[in-house]
Amino acid sequence: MALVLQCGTTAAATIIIVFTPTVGLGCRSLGYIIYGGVAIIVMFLNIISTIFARISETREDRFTVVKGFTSFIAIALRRISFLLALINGTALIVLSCFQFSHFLDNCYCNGSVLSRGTDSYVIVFYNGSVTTMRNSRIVGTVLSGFVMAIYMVFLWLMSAFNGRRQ
Amino acid sequence: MMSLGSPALAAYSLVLTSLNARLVYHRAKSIKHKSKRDVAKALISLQQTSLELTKDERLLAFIPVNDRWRQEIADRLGRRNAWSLATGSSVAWVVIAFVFTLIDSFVSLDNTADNTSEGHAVGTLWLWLLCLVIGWLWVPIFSSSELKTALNYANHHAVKRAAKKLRQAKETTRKAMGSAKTKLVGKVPKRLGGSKKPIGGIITVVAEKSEKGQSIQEDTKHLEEETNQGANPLLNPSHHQSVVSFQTHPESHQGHDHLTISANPDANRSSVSMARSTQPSINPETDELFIPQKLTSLNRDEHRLSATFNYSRIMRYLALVDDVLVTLDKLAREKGEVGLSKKRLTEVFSLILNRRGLPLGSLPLCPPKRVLCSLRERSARCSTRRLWPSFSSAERPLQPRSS
Repeated sequence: MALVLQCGTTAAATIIIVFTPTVGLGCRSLGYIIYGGVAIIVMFLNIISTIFARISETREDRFTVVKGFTSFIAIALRRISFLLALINGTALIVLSCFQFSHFLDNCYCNGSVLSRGTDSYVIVFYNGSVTTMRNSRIVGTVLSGFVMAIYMVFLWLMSAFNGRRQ
Repeated sequence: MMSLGSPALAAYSLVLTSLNARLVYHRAKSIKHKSKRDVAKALISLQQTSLELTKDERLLAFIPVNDRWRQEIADRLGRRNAWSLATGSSVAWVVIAFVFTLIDSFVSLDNTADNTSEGHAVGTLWLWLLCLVIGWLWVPIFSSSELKTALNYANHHAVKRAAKKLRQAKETTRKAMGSAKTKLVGKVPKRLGGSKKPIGGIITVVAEKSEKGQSIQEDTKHLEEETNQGANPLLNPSHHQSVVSFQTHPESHQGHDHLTISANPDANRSSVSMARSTQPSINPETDELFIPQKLTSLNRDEHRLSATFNYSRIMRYLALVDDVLVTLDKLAREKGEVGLSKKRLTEVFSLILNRRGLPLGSLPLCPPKRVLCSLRERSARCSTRRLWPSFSSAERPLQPRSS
């Protein structure tokens, strides 16, 4: 569920950006993808770290090697993931700030050079059809809304009958 | 910051919390114990603290004071985060803002000169935050600041009630025993052993040096003064002053109440002084309960009082839920068989709130083993010497269901 929520919102944002002319993977969309990816990695690292910590905790004292090894892994993973999360969170804020302050509004980014290479161009005056853009935006909005709805309905179903009716 | 860096992790924690609550609720439904509701509520609401079962059964108590204590905690826990005007309006505000962004985004499609999708994209990117905020409002957990208040409140009242009880018991003793008081000093364990009824427990409220602990300390001082005036036979003035211990005579009072209330500004010393001043009930090993050992970096996340870190507590939490509920179940069954009184049948778990100078309350809900065993076996194991049998720290106090 967590994965669905994360992927859903990030993917929706990416779709909207990618299909906005110039079509292609640019600075912004790449940033989004990296953000989502790192978030998921952080989550898995933390889960693994928890499991290792539990293993290390519950073993008897005579398994010194196992205990030490697992606790080392757990601590290392936890620290790495914390660092990643820190960087990732900062990146998210910085990315949003950059977008709104038009810092990314330069030739390199607007031309989606990252994916288009020499084929890239910058729009000076857009005269074409807006159907693709419109579709992408609709798809993005619907996708994110749908994902949110799924997540919330799941939570609601799970929590509707526990604390409240006691 | 952690949830900002990885919304997936926060969402995962949220789902876990919700599922845990469901699990506890459904498992508690099948148990026939009168306090299952309180226990389930506490278990559900306290997910974002690091809960641990106390391994030291000497600190388990089952005097009525603790029923009250638990009840009060449960009452306070009932008030959880809920929708208020403020939260509702901020969520509504966010939604409205996002809708405007959407409208703007679609309208500006035709306006080719000003055509960026940035607002829309960034808005979508942040949408998970909305989900999480609403989700945390739904899940019945308890904010850590309120938890502190609740603990303080309950401790406060528990101490007050304990004082009252102490006074009453003192009266009874004075009436019944008259001049024979002094003979009791130093002979408590033997006397207690003579009685076949199970003996009362201990309530221990430890207040640390924090500001929050002040009220408890004051209360205890008050209590202590009173006790001194009443010339409590068991209060030995040479012992640590902050410890009050009182015991009624076996024949003069039905059942026995052993009441120990300790408030010590120096938490490290408290156990030692308590061990010196009260006889079989508490010894230096009580340190184990009040000073959490798991503050090594291995479990650092578990000790954070934030709901985002619920994921790291899941393993411990599930084991704890299993222990507590299985014990409850067992107790309920044994109650039917043996016919113990209701007040003595309670279960155990203790909160260990760490390193913030929070008041530490042992929330004792389980009869010490000896109560059960004295009724069932009355063997040598339950003799006076072993009133409070010592358990090694590795030993688990409660048996899981499998055994």
